[in-house]
Amino acid sequence: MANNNRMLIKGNYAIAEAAIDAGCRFYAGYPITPQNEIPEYMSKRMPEVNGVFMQAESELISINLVFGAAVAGARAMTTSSSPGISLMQEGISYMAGCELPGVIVNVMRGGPGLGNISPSQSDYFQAVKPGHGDYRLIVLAPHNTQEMYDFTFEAFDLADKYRNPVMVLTDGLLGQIMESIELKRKKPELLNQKKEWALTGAKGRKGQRIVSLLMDPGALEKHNFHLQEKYDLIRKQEKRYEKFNITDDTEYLIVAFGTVARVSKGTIKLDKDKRIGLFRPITLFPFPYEELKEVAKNVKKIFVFEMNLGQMLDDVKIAIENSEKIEFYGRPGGGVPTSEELLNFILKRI
Amino acid sequence: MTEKIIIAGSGGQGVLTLGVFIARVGFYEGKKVAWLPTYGAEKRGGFSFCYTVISDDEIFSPVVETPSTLFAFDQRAYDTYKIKIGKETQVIINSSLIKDFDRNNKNIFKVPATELAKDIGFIQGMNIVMFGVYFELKKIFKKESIYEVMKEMLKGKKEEIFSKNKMAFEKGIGYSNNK
Amino acid sequence: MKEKIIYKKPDSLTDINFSYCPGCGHSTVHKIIAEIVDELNLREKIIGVAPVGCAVFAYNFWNFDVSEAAHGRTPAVATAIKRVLPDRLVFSYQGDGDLASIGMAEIIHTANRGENITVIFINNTNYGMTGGQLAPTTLLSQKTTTSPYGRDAKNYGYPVKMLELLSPLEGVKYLERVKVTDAASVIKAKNAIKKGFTYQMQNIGFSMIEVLSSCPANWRKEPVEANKLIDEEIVKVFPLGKIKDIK
Repeated sequence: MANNNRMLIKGNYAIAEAAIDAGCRFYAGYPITPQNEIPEYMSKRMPEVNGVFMQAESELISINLVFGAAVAGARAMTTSSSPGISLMQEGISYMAGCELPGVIVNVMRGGPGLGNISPSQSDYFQAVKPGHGDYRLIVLAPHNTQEMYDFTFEAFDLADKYRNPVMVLTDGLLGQIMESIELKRKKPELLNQKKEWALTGAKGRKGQRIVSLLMDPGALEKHNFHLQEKYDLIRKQEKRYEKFNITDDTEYLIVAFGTVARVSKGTIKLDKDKRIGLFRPITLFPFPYEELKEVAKNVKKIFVFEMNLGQMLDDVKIAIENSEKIEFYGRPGGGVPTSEELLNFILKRI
Repeated sequence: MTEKIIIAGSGGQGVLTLGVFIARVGFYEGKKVAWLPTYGAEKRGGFSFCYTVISDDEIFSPVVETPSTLFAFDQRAYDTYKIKIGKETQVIINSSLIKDFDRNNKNIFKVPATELAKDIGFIQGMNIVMFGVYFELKKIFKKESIYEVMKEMLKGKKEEIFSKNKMAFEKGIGYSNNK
Repeated sequence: MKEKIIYKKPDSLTDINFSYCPGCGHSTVHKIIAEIVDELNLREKIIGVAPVGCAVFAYNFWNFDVSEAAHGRTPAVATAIKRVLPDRLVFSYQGDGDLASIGMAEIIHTANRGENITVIFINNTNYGMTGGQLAPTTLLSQKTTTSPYGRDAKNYGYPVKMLELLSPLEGVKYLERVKVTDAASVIKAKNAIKKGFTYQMQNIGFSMIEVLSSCPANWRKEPVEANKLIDEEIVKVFPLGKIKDIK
């Protein structure tokens, strides 16, 4: 439903449409709630733009199809929810090792195990501390439908720029919510950048390889140092965060991402004394440690709110030396806090 | 203005459709809107509910703690959501299917929506009858927005479906005025 | 007198020497693939996907584009490459651990979707690279490092016959089992692989060529003895010839 450039759209559809706009022409996915709108939409949309839609027979196949599409130089995406992402971790590690770009969307649900289908932030760890090997994903955490579109769109450029998988970490609430967004359709910056490393047939050159197996003595160590340099560059260049209602008078600081960050903004609006501010990490890797440290310097207390029992909390503790100032409140297993609930917690602890 | 709505009923009663409809009317009138459904369960004919928030300001939390309006389509929905009823909550119940409710609460408006929808030969329009009541009680939306959005949502369907929905809507308005 | 070249190393092989054990079938199959690529003039448009297993280093020896894949996911990677680049020739090269065990789901679904790729399946009845463990293809009573008393069906199940398993799937167009134990069988194997590639170029669909391949090191046999085992015993369990050919 469009109204000029404004559009009423469900979060999951916003992700799918952003991928199309970003030049994604290969999508593979496997059904899992709460992200089924994305493969459904893609199955209709991809043929319209001469792209490839594949319904994979498992999440293992999904991620390896994305791997293959990336090998061939395509912009590729897969989407899933928590248990499916666990299955994909193998392939994601291979992509990181092979330095293949690709976008993975995790519409998180409650866990562990089969858990439930309610919104959760239970996969912070598996996003920022992913599978086997010493590697990193760029992790973007939207907190409304607008950002579902914007961040998915940007994820493709980031993936190509650093030749690294990018994860959009969102949840069932943001996937299912329908709200209005402003569509700023633009050209993806790096879409036409030539991928010299891709395997397209050895035309006029020697055969080349895409591999993560490096058995020669010292080769893998060297490769890891190379990857680390890349992650350092990402740390330097791609850190993103939002400061909301933070002034010189801010006494209490909330640190939250995604759904909990938007709920926290409601908490701040409810606070009559205007003493509460929000620091919202947008990139969970790279995590904005220094920026958080700076903001937290003069506040009396720091409230970390998550829809889990303390995962981002570890990173907040790394950022803030004086961890006695930190208070944590979390809702695991699919619980979504309300703005009032968070305010009550703050008022009890100050 | 911030209107926080909970719509509750069973799968197949048009709970989610009404939520989307109200959100789209709000959007049509330039308001900020958020609609959040239950997912999964509604496909199994089970319990179904959704939140719709309409506001002049940015909507931070789409999860409604205390609604300004609660639609209850059947007894189970009323029983499940009565704990959310606040002092200011306007409750609209489908009295065709809800017999047991708090008769002391002055904010409960009863409408035999299933029967009224049957009267016009359009039982699927129960949700729109309920909406007609809401429209008249709250007076937040313009009538032409309702018809415009109705047309948009029914695009590609027979003209007859639109007129049935319009009738259901007017039935709801009429009922609330004659009470 | 002018020098006349009657035999040379295929252009599609690099200068790196094969690192496979003496008598191993991989070397032969690598070489015939390179010869076919030369003969069909495919070097600049072929993309291979190597497995996890002994042939993980295949990309060192072929002078054309080759990608790695996670263990068993080889057909999924090959599928996506082919879907993105439909005018290239794409093949996966997999061992029996990769294809018939951990990658069973991938190969069945790739075959069932009728992906227009060619699969070269090297069956040497064990996990070569990790030291000769039992594979799904290990023969009954065959001793391996994880079946020291020999494979008994009660504990380990039966040898899986992949071609016969895939044959009923409608997406599958060509299946043939070959061996490379002597000059005549190598020529047959080469023709089969060439046919698979040709079918792909003609957009006919999924094909798979299973090569019974010896593993003298893990079978604890001299190369000649190992080949004899294929010729006399293994072919009884995995019969040679065309299993399916829609043409």
